Amino acid sequence: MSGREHAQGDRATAVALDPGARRVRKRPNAASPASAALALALAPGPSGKDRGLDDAGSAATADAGTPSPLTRPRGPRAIDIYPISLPGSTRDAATDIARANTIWAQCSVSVAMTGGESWQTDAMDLLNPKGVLNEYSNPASPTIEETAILAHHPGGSALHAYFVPSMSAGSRGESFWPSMTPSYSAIVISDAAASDSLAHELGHVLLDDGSHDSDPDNLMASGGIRNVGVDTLTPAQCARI
Amino acid sequence: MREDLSVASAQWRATGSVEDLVGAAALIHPGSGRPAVRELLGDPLVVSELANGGESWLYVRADPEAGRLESMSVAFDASGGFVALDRKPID
Repeated sequence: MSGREHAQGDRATAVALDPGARRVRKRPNAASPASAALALALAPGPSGKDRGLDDAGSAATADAGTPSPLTRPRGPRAIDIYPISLPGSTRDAATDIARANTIWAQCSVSVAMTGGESWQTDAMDLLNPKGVLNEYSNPASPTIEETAILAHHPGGSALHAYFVPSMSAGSRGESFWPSMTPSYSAIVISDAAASDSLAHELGHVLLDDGSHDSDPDNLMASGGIRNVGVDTLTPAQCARI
Repeated sequence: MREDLSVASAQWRATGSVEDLVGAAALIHPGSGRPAVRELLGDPLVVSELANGGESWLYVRADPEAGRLESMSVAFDASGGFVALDRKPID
């Protein structure tokens, strides 16, 4: 199978039921704070070796033979992630980020942790249930807890990843990608996340797209069908980064 | 129409299935108020206030172990009118 399934938090059903319902559309993002921050985070960085790319990453950039136009690397990209652990979260950010670095090496993208903090906040107590992140059902309409969390942005231009104990609708993670986010692009990861969830959420941000791939082996397949641990990325996806 | 609503409401409340929620929500007119939605679908599991002044009412929580691979919520705008039934797959 190929192609895309419904978007993260989409309204496919609603659209079918109500022709007047809003569709999730990409918006031009050239001037948004989100796109500006992401542009900084995505700035071509030092070489892969300078950034400590693992062997797989180096091989993807330098040892790929004579790649076709579709597979030709566009040069190493460096993504810095600033993890923020919220009260109750027990997840190891470093492990998730290291896994994301390994997966994204397929696209010559290096992912590294920069700084980070444990944030004592009551932002998850604004709504019931308390101590749980009340999550969006549509990325265009974040909850007040999410906007409170995203407003805490101590890590400069790095992509912020907020680690929460759990999410109200049972999600393992979610993201705010440039064309959809109200402020900064960001990632949310819950304790229930899979080992590749952070890499998957990063994909939504890098691709600026909330849709899912229908191939279960693809990193961007939804969690319901994804073969965690396979996590392939297509040349076309890499070319969009 | 009233009978359709009653049947759909009863079926959704009896099964709690995604299919029946979709069927019941299909009968909600855009702009319908919260009381009408509550009458049809019952009390939501979680009510979340949205930054835009609206609300999101969660009716189906995702649970992969139970085979529920997406959550489903009803969205209201700032004036309290029904907007859409949102479905959010687990990531």
